[in-house]
Amino acid sequence: RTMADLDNLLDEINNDDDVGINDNVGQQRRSPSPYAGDNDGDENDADGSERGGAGDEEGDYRAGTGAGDDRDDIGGDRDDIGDDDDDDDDRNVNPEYEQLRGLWTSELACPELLPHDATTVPDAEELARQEDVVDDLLRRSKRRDQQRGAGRASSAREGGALSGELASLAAQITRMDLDRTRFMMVDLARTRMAKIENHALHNRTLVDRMTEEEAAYLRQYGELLEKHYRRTVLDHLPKKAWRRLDEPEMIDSPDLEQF
Amino acid sequence: IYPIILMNYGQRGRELLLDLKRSDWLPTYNEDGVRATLQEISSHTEELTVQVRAANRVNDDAARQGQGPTSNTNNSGGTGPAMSYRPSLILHDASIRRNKRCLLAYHAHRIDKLRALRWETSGTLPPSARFVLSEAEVDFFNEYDRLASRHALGGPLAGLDWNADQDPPGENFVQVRVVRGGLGRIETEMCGTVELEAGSMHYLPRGDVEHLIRSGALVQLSGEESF
Repeated sequence: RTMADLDNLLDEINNDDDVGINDNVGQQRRSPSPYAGDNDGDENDADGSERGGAGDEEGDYRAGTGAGDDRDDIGGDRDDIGDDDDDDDDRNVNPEYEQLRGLWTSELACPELLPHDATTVPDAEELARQEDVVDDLLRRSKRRDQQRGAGRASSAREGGALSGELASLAAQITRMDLDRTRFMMVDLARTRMAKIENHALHNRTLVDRMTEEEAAYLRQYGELLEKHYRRTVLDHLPKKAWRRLDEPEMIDSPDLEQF
Repeated sequence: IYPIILMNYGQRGRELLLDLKRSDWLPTYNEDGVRATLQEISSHTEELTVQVRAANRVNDDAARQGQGPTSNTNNSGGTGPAMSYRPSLILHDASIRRNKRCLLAYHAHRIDKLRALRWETSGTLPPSARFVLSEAEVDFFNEYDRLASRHALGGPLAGLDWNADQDPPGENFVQVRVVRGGLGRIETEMCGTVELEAGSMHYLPRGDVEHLIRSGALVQLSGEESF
């Protein structure tokens, strides 16, 4: 998994910035997990803040916007420098990510609406934070190219050139991670929405599985449906009693025997 | 004189549904078919009313002559329409239900397609589609778009664009060729401004061009085509 390399990349980038403070390679840098603030994942952000005290922008950015978050995304352990990605899947598993993915897969597979799970779905804010990470990395990569041209201290120049590309690469990878997470979240919400719509009458009994917004949506959508049917069919039927939509055999229930 | 001469009950309803089955996406809204089916329901209703009245008359006559309702074998021992009329009543009632079901299925199928269309086009109704829809359906499309967009903007995921990312993301960059002219330029995050000339090929971030690919203005290349 390429995410293991992200650790190394970000290490190198940050090392190059702090020319002369190269003893930070092995330091544990952790920030609160982006997905659940009170999760018992990796909670020590003390180190992150300390590095921020080094005074330069890079340190701040890590403590504030959470490059450490990236590392938490990719794995709880940090002893993965230089090993093969393919062999060590269990060590690189991020529990929150797997939870989200499990939730998404279940929702896709289940014919009926599942109870909603607010704890697993990451906040949009955390996604925004990751976007900041990407933007920042991009900025740094461009800046380093400029440094190269200006011909500053030679170590910065050499390190700088390399880090420029690394930062750009790291940006790509983080962006990809971000895209994937975002996709899962949105697809989860969309799938649920589609289920609500497809079995609207059936779902009237399942309101407790929905979030507030979804329940409101069900109501509104139901009204829209009824309005459409009334306009096209029901109001043209001779007897009032026939204008109902919710007789038991008329309700479209999801096929629970599908599998 | 019975208003329904041919016993082709349910045929109009069936035709409506066959229409749907035969077309790729949706056939033109079959105003006539719908109206004819509704008319059939009305006819059945009239006939039903006539029959019920006749059945009750039979019972009343029998009651006046001191007999119980004709051949009334139901256990309630009570009223209910005369036995000999019942098959007819059941038939008409069943026909009415069948027609109602056909009509509702017809409309339901069409709006299902409309809902899918809305997600494909992010709420813009293409002119070719508008052609086959009834006015009520166009209204439905717009209202559904409003409703769905509003739902996407409420709640915790408000900041995200629900119309984007409809398939799992693959690579970060995609190679595309422009097939529709007149698109002008687009702004991308990482590649600056790009002029989208018809026939030109570009290598662009997926997020920026996804909606264009979906709408058909750009075609994604597999990378195996020769230049």
